[in-house]
Amino acid sequence: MGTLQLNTNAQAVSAFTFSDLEPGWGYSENGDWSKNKSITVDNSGTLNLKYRIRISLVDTESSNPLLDNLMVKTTYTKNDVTTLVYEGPLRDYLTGKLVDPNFLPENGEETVTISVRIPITAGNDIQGQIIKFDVLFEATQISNNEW
Amino acid sequence: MQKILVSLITIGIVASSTIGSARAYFTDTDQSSDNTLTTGSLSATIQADNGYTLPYQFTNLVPGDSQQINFNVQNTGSLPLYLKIKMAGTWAEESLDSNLMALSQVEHWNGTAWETMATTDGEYFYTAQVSSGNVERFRSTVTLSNTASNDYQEKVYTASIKVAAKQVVDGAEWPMY
Repeated sequence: MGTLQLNTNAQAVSAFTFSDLEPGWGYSENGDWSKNKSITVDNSGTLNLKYRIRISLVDTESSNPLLDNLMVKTTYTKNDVTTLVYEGPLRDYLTGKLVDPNFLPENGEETVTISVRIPITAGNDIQGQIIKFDVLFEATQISNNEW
Repeated sequence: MQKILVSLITIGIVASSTIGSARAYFTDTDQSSDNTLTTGSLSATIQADNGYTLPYQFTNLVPGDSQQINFNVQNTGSLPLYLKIKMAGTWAEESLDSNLMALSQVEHWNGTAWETMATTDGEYFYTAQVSSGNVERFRSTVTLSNTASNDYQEKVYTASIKVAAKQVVDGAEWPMY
């Protein structure tokens, strides 16, 4: 019997805690994403696995307009190759986004980078909004076709 | 009849067997907790300056007359902002030209002196950032045009001083008043 275990330093890395967000927030001068968190992930079990990132809201209504206006980009870097996983509104992450579809135990560590920003086109409806959430790293066997 | 019963029982067993055979997979979960994102607010509020009350009322104006109105604008939001100011109003008698009463000048108090603000198409722009909580003092001059004819005698003009605010980030656009 093998073991399936995904470890991250997500708890050790300081959480996404930002205030006074506004349209245009999270952009560097050259237009890149400027608010990033990098999390180290390793497959410390014996089985190949795949994993996804899923957002779980805490004390936050699903109707909060910030969920549609906060853009999130996820990449992962393995063996010096960076792969774009997904870029879209935070709401899309409520159902989970597959990150690495084939993470082998011998791959060692890989780095997941999550970036956030708010387009300048966002409107007044996001003023004074608060969203709280957990970022879940969920792993399963590669043969699991349920997600 | 016995054969039919046997068949029905067999079908029932197959069905329950299918339901009971859902597969299980190994899973694992790790998480980052306590993520909180809070947006700011953008708000500017007009306040009466010392010695002035809102709304302002002027009487017995004659063509070419000017009156001063002092007022403050406070950034009552959490974000820094830019301001612009204009006046909009109408005569009680609709046939009269509202353009004959206008803001002829708006000045900003810089702490030591009044500075004239730049204007475009009747709008006056305060080009410095106003930080959250800060109060800026303004002095505007309202003038009845010297081209106003006798038709404007004993007429009432009602106006609003309007302030619009926008974010200080690149690409932010002015809102409607």
